[in-house]
Amino acid sequence: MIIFIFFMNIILSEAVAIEPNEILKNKELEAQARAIGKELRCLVCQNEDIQNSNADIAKDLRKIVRIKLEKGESKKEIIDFIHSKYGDFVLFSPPFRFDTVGLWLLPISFFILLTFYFFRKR
Amino acid sequence: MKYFLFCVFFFCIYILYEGLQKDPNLVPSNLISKEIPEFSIESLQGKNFTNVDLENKGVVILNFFASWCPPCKIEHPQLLQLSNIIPVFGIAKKNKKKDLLPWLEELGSPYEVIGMDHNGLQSINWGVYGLPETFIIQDGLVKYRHVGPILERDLEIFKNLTRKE
Amino acid sequence: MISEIGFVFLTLTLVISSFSFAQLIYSHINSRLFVLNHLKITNLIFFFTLSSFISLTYSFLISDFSLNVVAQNSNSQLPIIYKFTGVWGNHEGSILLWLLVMTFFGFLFSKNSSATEEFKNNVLKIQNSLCFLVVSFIIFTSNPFEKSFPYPIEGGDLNPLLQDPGLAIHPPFLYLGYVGFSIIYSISVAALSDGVKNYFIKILKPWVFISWIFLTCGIGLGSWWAYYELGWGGFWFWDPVENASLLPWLTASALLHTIVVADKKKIFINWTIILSILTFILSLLGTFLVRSGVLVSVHAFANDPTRGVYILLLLASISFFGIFKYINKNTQLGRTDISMISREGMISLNNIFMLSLTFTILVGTIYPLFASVLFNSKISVGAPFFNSILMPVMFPFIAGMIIGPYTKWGKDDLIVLLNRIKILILCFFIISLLVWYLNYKTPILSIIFIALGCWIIFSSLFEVFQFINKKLRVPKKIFAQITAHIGIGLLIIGATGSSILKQEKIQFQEVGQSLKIKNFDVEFLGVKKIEGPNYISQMGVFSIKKQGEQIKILRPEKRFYNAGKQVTTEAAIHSSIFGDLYIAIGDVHEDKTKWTTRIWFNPFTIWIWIGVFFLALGGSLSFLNSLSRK
Repeated sequence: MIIFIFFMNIILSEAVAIEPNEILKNKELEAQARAIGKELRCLVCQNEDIQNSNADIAKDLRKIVRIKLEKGESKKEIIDFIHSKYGDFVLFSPPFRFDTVGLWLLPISFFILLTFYFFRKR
Repeated sequence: MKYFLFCVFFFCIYILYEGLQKDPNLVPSNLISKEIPEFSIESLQGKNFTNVDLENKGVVILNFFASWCPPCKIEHPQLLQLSNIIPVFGIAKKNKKKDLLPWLEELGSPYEVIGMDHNGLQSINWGVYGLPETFIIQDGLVKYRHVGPILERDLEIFKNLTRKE
Repeated sequence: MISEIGFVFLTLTLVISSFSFAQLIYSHINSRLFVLNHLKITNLIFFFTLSSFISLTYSFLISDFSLNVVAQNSNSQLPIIYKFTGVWGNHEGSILLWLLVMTFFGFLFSKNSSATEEFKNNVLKIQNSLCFLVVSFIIFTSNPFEKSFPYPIEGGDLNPLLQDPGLAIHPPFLYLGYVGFSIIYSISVAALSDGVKNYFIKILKPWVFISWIFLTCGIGLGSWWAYYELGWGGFWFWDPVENASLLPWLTASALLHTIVVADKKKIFINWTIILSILTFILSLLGTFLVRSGVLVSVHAFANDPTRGVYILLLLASISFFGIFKYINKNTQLGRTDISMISREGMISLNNIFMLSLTFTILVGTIYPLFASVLFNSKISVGAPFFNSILMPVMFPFIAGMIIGPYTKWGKDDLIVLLNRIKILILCFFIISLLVWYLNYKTPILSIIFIALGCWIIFSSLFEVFQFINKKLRVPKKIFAQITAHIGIGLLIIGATGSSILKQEKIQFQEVGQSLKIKNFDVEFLGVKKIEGPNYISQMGVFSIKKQGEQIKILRPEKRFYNAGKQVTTEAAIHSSIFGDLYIAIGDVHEDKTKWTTRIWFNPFTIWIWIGVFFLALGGSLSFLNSLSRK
C-alpha cells in the first residue's frame, strides 16, 4: 500500500521552523531568502514550504539558499539550481511548459467562454 | 453539446481513477540519465572522495545513509550482499565519526569509501531528500535511484539493473 | 454489547434506506406502481443512525478498546472531552457523522418544510437514496464497529493536534455545511423531476442559508485553529483540503445571491438548479480528495485506495444523476436577455466570477494529479500560484460588491449609474488618501487592500445612510446584505494586516532579557516544567509590558505527549483590535542560558474572525427572513 516511509524526520507540524542562527544579518538578503523560501516545497512534508517546516531537508535547503545569496547569486539562479537537483516537485509554481500551460489556460478560457456564452445576443 | 459535456465528465472521472493508482508521495529523481554531480568531500578514512572515484568503474552503487537512521540498519544486509557483486560507496549524512565507527563495526561495512556529508549540502547536490537513498551509477551517469531501504524484494531489481552488459 | 447494537442499527439503516433507493431506480425504468412513504423511511433512518452514533460515542467514552477505531484514536488518559470529540477525529467515525448529518437534514426537512406532501416525498426519496449510498460505503469499507481480537489494553492516542477545542468542533460545523448541501441537491433534482415550478425556490431558500452559515463557521474555525495552533500565525495555506472546503462555499455563495433574486423576480431558475447541484458535487469531490489518498495534504485521513474507488463511484454516480436530470429537463426557464449593466447583470457577473474562481482553484488543486496521469509529470501547485490569481480577482469582486447594490433592475446605463454614486466615489478617494497617510511606510499592496476593505464597509454603511436620509425603514434584506459585505471588508483588512504587515522577532533570548516589538516590551522570565493530563509541557513565561506597566503574562508551551511521543507547540496570544502579540517558544540553546523565542506582531488579525462572524450573522439574518415570508 504505502511505500515504506523512510526516515524523513516528519514531526507532526511542530512547524515553527526557522532558528535564530539561520537568519542572515543582512536584512535585505534575509528578506530575499524568505521570498525564495516561499516558492520551495518541503519535499517530505504535507504541502508546506521550506520556511515553515522543521524537516531536515527544509533546514538544509534554507541553509543553501542563504549560502548562495551571500555569495551573490540571484533568485533565479538559486531556484534553478534547486530545481535542477529536485525536479518540478520542489517548485510551488510550476515552470511554463506544454504540460503545465493548462494550469493557466483552462481558467482563463473558462471565464471568457462563460461570459460570452451568458451575455451573447440571442 | 450534451455529449461533449458527458465526455468531459467521464474523462475527468477516469483521470481521478487513474490517479488513485499512483502514489502522490513519490518524488522521482531529476538526475536520471545525467552525469553524476561533481563533488569533493572528506572521507571517513581521511582521504578525499570525489566524483572521479565513481567514474570509469562500470557499474557502482552510491548509498546515502547515517547511523542515526533506523531504516538504514534494515537495509544493511542487502547492501552487504550487493557489495559482493558491485562496488558500493557510501555518503554518511550528518554523522559524527565517533557515532559512525561503532555502528559499522557492529553491522559490517559494505563500503569501499565513505564520504562524510557533515552539513547536508552534499545530499542536496545529489537531490537526496531523506534517508536512505541509493543510486546506481553506470559509466558516470545516474541510472537509477532507490528511495527508502533496500528490502529483500528489491534485491532482484538491483541485480538486474547492475548486471554487466 | 453496545457496539454490537450500534452495528445492528447501522445495518437497519442500510436495509430501510435501500427501499428509497430501489424505488428511485425502479421509477426510471417503470412508472410507479405504488408510492412508498419516504418520510417514514427518513424518520426511521434518522433514528437508527442517531442510535448508532450514540453507541459509537459511548464506546469511545468508556474507552472500549475492542473496537479498532477506539484503540487507534483514543487513550484512557485522554480528557473526557477529547474522548468525545475523538469519535469524529478519524475516518470511520467522521463518515458516520456525515451520515448522521445527512439523515438529520432529511428529518428536519420532513418535519419543517412548507412543501406539499408529494414534493416532500420526492425530495426525501432522493435524500434517502444518498443516505443509502453513504451507509453502504460505511458498512463495506469503513465500519467503525470493526473489532479486533485480542484487543489492546491501551489505545494509541488521539492525535495531539486534535486535542484542542477549536479543532474538536470544526468538523461538526463543516459537516453541517458540506453535508447540508445534500438537501439542496435533493430538492433541486426533485424539482427537475416535477417539471420545475417556481415554488421550489421558496422551499430551497432556508436550507441554502443554513448550510452556508455552518460551512462559513466551519471554515472560519479551521482557519482560526490553524492560526493559534500551528505556531507561526498563518491562517490559510491553500492546502488541497482547505481548497476542497472552499469550493462548495464559493458556489454556495453564488447560489445565495442567485436565490434571493430568483425568489423575488422569478428569474435565475436555471442558475439556482445548476448551482445547487454543483455545490453538492463539489462537497463530494472534496470528500474524495481528502479521503482517497490521491493528493498530498496535511489533512489527509487514512490513505486507502479501495475506499478511494468507492468514494469515486459515489461521486461519479451522484454527479452523473444530477447532471443527467438537469440536461434532460432543461426547459427554457428564466429570461435570456440580461444586459450587463443592470442588477440582474451584476448578479450574473458575480456568478460567473465566482464560478471562474471556483474553477481556477479546482484546477490548481487537481492539476498535479492530472499532469501525473496524462504526462507522467510530478509538479506542485501551491500558495504562490493561488495567491497570484486571488489578488487580481479581488478587484472585480469588490467593484461588483460596491456597485452592484446601486444598479437598477432591468436596464441601466453606465454613465447614469456612475452619476448615482458620485458622492460615494468621492468618499472612496478621501478614504484612500486617509489610509495611505496612516500607513505610508507600509508596502503598497497592503495599502491598496486595506483601502478596498474600507471602501466596502463604507459603501455598505452609505446604503443604510441613504435609507435613513429618505426617512425610510431599512429593509431586513438590506441589513443582511450589508452585514455580510461588511464582514468581507473586515476579513480583507484582517487578512492583509496579518500577513503583509506582520512584524517578527526571532532570536535566542536570555532569561531576564527584554525585547521591544511594536509598542510592547516582552520580557522573558524563564521556562518551567508542567505536567498535563496526558503530556509534559515546557512552559515559557513572558511578561508583557506597555510603557513600563505590565499588562499580561503570556505562557507559550511546547508539549510532549506521553502516549504517541508527539510534540506540539502551543503559542500564546494577546489580542487587541490593533493586532495580536503572538509568542512561541523553541528549544534551549546549547549553553542552557538562552532559549529560542519567536515573537510576532500580527496587525488586525482579530478582524478576520470578526469578519467571519459578520458573514455568518448576515447569513442568519437572511435565513430568518426566508422563514418568515409566507
